[in-house]
Amino acid sequence: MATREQAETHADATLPPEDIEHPGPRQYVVVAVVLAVLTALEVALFYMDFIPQPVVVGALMILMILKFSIVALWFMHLRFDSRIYRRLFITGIILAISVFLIVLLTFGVFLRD
Amino acid sequence: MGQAGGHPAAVQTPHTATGLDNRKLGMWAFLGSECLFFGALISSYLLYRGRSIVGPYPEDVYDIPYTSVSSFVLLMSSLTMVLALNAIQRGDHRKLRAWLLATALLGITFVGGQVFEFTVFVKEGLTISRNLFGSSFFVLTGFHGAHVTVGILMLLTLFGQSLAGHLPTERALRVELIGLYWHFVDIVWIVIFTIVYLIP
Repeated sequence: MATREQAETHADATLPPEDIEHPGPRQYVVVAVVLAVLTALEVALFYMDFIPQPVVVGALMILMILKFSIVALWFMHLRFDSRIYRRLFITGIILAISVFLIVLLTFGVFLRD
Repeated sequence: MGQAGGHPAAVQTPHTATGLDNRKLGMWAFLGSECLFFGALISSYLLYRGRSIVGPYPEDVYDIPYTSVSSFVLLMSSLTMVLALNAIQRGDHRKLRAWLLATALLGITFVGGQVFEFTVFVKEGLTISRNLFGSSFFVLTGFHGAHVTVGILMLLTLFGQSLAGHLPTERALRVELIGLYWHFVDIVWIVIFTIVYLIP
């Protein structure tokens, strides 16, 4: 069984490190429990009127990014698969964020509120 | 090659320039492009937010506890999906079918919930042509719902193929590809749930 380090070296040589051991069912269940707890936290934050709104928005964004990353890294196996897949997906995300951030800033969406 | 984590019994390096399977590479490229598709819809929603001159407004129609349960259902379908992939990689076809069916049922529950939510919104006067909020909301969540529906159809196809004995362990990649699509639909909902429903 190749280790993660060996596989990373392979990735640099464009060989796929696809024989890294994937997690087992127990680990997947633990990841799902973490995701459920984070979701519960998000909903709880929504109802916490005593916290200033910018803090709530910031916390919600952080939780969203955390959940997004956990699903992509563990359930979609980006943490274990070839770096090429990761690069393809991240390129799409960065492109989308940059293009639409420019659009939103141009229309002053963040200044309106 | 160890089996503890449930990785494929026999992973063969495909004969391609990258050493990766082109189908999987294609799926990741497709998902990368889907980021732009949903990015456009989410941006439109943000652009039109707070610009409706007639109601109903988001705070009049949103039912956060209800949508939270829907989100939880979709999130758990990602768990059952990854367990289905793990089952076929271990050659356990009975569990594969059970987890595929569970994923499809959770997906159907989510889409059913969305249809119900849309019906309630329409009854409260929010239609796609009512105001800017209605237009951007229904287009965004409607396209997401359509993606989930396509995913359900693909899952049921896999289930049928497995029942007919046309999904041997060597073809686990099919489950993996559809799994990637399914998880993507889930992460898009993670973003929609926060940006559309939770952020005031």
